Amino acid sequence: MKKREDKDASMQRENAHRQIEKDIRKAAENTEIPKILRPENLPELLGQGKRRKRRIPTVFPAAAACGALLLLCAAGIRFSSVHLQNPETAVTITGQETEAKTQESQEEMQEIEESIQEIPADETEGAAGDLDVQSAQEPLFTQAESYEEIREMVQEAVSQKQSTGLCGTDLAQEDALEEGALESYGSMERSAEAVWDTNLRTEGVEEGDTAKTDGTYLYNIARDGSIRITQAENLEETACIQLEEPAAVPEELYVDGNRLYIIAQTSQSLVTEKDAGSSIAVSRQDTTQLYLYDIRDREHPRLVKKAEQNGSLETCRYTDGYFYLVSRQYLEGELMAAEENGFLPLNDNGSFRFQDILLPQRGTPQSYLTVSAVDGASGETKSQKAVLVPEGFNLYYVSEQNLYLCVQEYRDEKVGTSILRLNYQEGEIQAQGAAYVTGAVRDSFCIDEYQGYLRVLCQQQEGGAALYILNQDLQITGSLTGIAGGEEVKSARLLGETAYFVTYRQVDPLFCVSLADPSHPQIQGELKVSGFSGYLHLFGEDRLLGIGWEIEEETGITIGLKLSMFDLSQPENLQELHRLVVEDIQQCAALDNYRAALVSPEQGLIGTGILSYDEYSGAQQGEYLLYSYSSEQGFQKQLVQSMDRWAQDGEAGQILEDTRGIYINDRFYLVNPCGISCYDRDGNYEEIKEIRW
Amino acid sequence: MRELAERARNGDQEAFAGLYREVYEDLYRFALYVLKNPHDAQDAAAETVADAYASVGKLRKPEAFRPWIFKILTNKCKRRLKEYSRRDVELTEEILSGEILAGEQDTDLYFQVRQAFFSLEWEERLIVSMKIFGGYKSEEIGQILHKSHNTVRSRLSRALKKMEEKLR
Repeated sequence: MKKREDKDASMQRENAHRQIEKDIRKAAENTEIPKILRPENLPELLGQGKRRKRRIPTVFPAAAACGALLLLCAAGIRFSSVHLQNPETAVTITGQETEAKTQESQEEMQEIEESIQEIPADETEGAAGDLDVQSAQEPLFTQAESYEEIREMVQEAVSQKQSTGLCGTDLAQEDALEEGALESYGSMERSAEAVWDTNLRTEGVEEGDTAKTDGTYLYNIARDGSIRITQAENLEETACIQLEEPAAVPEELYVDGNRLYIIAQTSQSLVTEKDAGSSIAVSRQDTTQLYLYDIRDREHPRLVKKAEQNGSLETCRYTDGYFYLVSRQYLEGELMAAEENGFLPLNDNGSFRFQDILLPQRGTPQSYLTVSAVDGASGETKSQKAVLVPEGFNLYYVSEQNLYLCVQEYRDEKVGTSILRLNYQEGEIQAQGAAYVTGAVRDSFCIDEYQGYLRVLCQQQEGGAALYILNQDLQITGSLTGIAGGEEVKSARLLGETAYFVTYRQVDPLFCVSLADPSHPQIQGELKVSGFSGYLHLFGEDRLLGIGWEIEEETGITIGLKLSMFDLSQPENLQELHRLVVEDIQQCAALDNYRAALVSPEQGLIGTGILSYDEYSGAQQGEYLLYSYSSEQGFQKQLVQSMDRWAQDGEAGQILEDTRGIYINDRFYLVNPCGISCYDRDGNYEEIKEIRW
Repeated sequence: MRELAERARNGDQEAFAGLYREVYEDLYRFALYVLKNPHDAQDAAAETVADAYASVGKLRKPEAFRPWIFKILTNKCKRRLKEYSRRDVELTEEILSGEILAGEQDTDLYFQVRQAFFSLEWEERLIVSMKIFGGYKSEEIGQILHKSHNTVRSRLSRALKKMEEKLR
C-alpha cells in the first residue's frame, strides 16, 4: 500500500515539474531577442559585411567573424583583458628560436630515427583471436615526420574555422633558484605521522587539489582566488598569496617540502595587429601556468619561477620531482597559419619540434593535448609531447611509469577507446604504444597497470562489461566479455591480481575477477545487493568500501546515500558486512570527484560532503559527513558539519565541491574556500576553532 | 534539415542561416536565463554563432545541429558563470532586476515564474535551461557537464521543486 502511495506521489510530482518546465518556456517566449542576433543579420554577425572585410584582409572569411565577435564583446567587456601584441617583435623572436632549433632538430632527428617512427596498434593474435575487439591493423597514432604534415592535417581540420591560439610568451625573468635551497619531500621531516590530505588514484603519484597540508600548515585556494597558508596548530593565517596575473585562476596546489606549487589557468582575448596596424586579428587564448613559490619563510612566500604552456588545464601529476602537465588547445585556424610554426603547440621551450607531435590516423583532429614535464626544483621544462586528438571524451590514468591517454571514439557507430601510452621517467616523455578496445572506459579506476600488464574494464555499447588484459606491447593477452549483460558499469577497482567492479540495472552485483593469469581472467564471485556503489576503495586487507546509492528495487527511486563494507576474504563468497544508508541525500561530493573523498583505512575514517534538499524551506543543505568504521562496530557517525556558516544563500553546492577533510594526528580540519574549522579527534570531534575569509 | 546542414557544412552561409533560424531565439533565451545578464547573453550567443559557423564543417551528423550548437553555448556560459562566481556577483543581480524585468513589462503572468527561476543557483539554472531550451536529456547533460546522471537528475528535480514551492 505504502509503495502505491509513493508511486502516486512521485507521479504527481513529475506532472507538477512538467508544468513548471512548460511555464518557464512560456515565460521566456516574450523575451526580446537582440536585433544583431536575428538570422537576417547573420552576415553582420559573422562580420562578413564589406566594411569589416576590408579591415581584416585575411585569407579566410571567418577570420572577420572572429574580429567582429570579439570587438562586439569589447563593448560590454567586463572580464577579458585585451592585449596588444607587437607582431614584428613576436615574429623576430620566433624566427631566432627557430633558427637555433633547426640544427638541434637535425641532430635529434637521427636519434629519433632509431627510435619509434610508428606506434603500432594492438594486434589480436593467439589467445586474443576471437575477441570482441576491433583490432586496428593500421597504426593508431604516428609520429609526425615534418612540420608540413602537421600543418596540412591541422589546416584541413580547421579549414573553415578561424580565431586561434596565439602564442604570447612574455614570461618575466625570474630569479634563478639556489641549488638545493628548497628541500623536497624526501628530506623534509613531516611533523606528524598520521596525515591525510588528497585521495590519490595511484599511490606515490601526487595529485594537486584545492586544499593541501604538509602536517604543519594548511594550504588552500580561497573563494577570492587567493591562496591561504594557515598554521594548523592554532589556525592562524600566516600568508595570503595573490597571483601576479589578476586573470589567472588557481586550480590546484601541490606542496613539497619548502616549495608550494600553484597550477592556474588564464583565458584572454588577444588582439594582434598586422601589416603595420592596417589590420587586426582577435583570438581567445588559454594558458596553463605552474607557479613555484619558495615557502621556507611561511609568512613571506616568494615567487621563484613560472612555467607555462598553451591550452587549458586538463590534468596534472607530480612524481619524482617532475610535474606532468596536460593541457588542451583547440585548433583555431587563421592565426596559426599567420605565425611561423604556428601550427605547433608552445611551452616555455618554444614551439614543439615536429618530432614531438603524434598524429592520429583516424578522425578529424579537434585539439592538441599537450604534455610537458617540468622539473619541480628549477621550474624548467625538460621534455614535451603533444597529441592531436579528435573530438570526444578524454580520460587520463597515470601509473608509476606511464601516462595513459584514452580517447573515446566511434567507429561504424560503435563506441571504442584508443589508449595511448606515454612513458615518463625523470622528466623524459616517450610515446610507447597504443591500443584500441571496444567499449567506453568510465573513469580512471577502470584502467590499471600492474606488473607490466594493463587491464581495462569497458562499458559495452549494448550494455554489459568487457575486461581486457594487455601486455607490455599493448597486445591483448586475455579478455572476459559479455559480463553483466545489459547492465551499466558503475565503479571499479583493479587491485593487484583481482578486479572488483559494480554493474547496475536494478540490483548491484559486485563482481570479483581473478587476473592472476593474464590470458584467462576468471569470474570468482558475484554478490547482489540493492542499490549500487559508485566508488570503491580498498579498506585494509580483505575489505572493500563502496560509496553509492541505495535504490528501491521496484520503483527505482533513490532512497539515499549508501556506505557498504564488503568482505573479500572469500572471493567465491563475497559478503556485505555492514551497510549504512543516509536518506534524502541528492548529491555526494566523493562520487563526483574522488579527490573530495576522505577514505583512510589506517585511521578507519570515511568522509565526504553531501547535499540535501530541505522539504520545507526549499533551501539546499550542504553538510560534511565523517564516519568511522571498524569491523566490530560498523559505521559510526563522528561528525556532521553544516556548511551554512560558510555558504551564502544556496552556494553550498559550490563550496562543497571544494571542501576537503584533512587530518593531522589528533586534529581534524574541514578546509573550504571560505574558511577552515578544526576539531578534536580525541574529544568526540568537538570544534576547537575556526577561521573565515 | 539534413540537406541544409550538408550545405552549411560546405560553407553555404544561407544554409547556415536556415539552421540558425531554427535555434537563435532559444540560444539567446538560454544564455539570458542562465547568465541573467542581457549583455553577456548577447555576447555568448554571438560568440557561439561565430564558432559554430567556423566549425560547422566538422559537425559529424547533420541532424545533430541543435545539440551541437547548444553544447558550444553551454561551454561559453559555463566559462562566464565561473568568472562570475570568482568576481562580483552583485553586479549581475542588479542587471537582472533592472533591465531584464523592466524591459519585458512585468505585469504578465509569467513574471513570478521568471522570478522563481532566477532565484535558482547558477548550476540549477544551467541544468534546467539545458533541458528546456537545449532539449537535452539528463544523460546528455551529465556528459556535457561531466557529472553523473544521478546528480543531474536530482539537481533538476530539486530545482523544479524549489520553483514549485516558490510559486505555490
